[in-house]
Amino acid sequence: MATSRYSDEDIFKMLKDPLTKEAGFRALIKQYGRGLYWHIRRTVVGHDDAEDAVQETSVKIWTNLDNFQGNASQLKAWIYRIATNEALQLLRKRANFMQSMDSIGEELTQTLLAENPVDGSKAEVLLQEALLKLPTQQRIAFNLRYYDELAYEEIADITGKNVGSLKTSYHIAVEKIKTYLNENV
Amino acid sequence: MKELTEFGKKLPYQESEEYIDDLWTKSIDMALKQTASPAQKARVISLRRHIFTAIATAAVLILITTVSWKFIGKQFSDNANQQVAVMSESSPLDSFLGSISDEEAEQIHCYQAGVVEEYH
Repeated sequence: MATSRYSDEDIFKMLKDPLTKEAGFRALIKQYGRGLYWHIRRTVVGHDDAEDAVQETSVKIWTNLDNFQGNASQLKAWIYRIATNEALQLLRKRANFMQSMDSIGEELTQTLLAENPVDGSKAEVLLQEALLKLPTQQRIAFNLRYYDELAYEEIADITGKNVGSLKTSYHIAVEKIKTYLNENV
Repeated sequence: MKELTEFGKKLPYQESEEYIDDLWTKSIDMALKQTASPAQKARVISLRRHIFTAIATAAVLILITTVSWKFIGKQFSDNANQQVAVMSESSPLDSFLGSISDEEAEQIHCYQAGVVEEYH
């Protein structure tokens, strides 16, 4: 499933026509599926949880296609928003009754280390550990900016936050991560 | 002080692009199978409505046919019975002959119609 040969405009038109809707759905995932998977994986961390969230995301995108009111340029943000919501939903299920979603970072770190026993000391694992110290929403915003290289406006569309607070949040996250890395390298 | 750029953007996960593509393909197939689109749902509802209408129409036709058949059959049956009754109904002569004894019948048989004089 390499990158789709269709533009967002082509995919949008396909999705609006009942005869080409399914093909449009497949083209949409072909276009953004890999990036979407890594976004989900970075959020939920665990391999199996990522699979579950991908499946739920797929169902939600398909069932809500007719409700999408935006234009072609908003498709990407829309499917990222669905993926983010499904990933967060899964984390809420993982959290205990008395536990907030932000305090689940320790458990996610354990999952990260358990799934990377050999390479546990590598720099990328350390960076993920640092990220898991952040509040969940801040971590998601950081990931979308740092890894997916999305514009703040796109991140605002996905997360529902305003651009100003996202910029502030990103810079605070960067400082926290740098501090953690310097203390643990 | 360490900078983020020194850590790069590589993730500590092993999944290949083939695995991810395959996962999405399976998920898409599952989504399509699990949930029909609103257009498909509308088609299914329309199909069900047509089937229901056809069954209801057939049931009404069967009912009408059955009632009609019974009614017409009863009419035929009544007519036939009446005809049989009419046919089987004995004439006054038969009734008279049936009611007389053998001796009386003998006497009648022996009766020779003669010429009635006064009419000549």
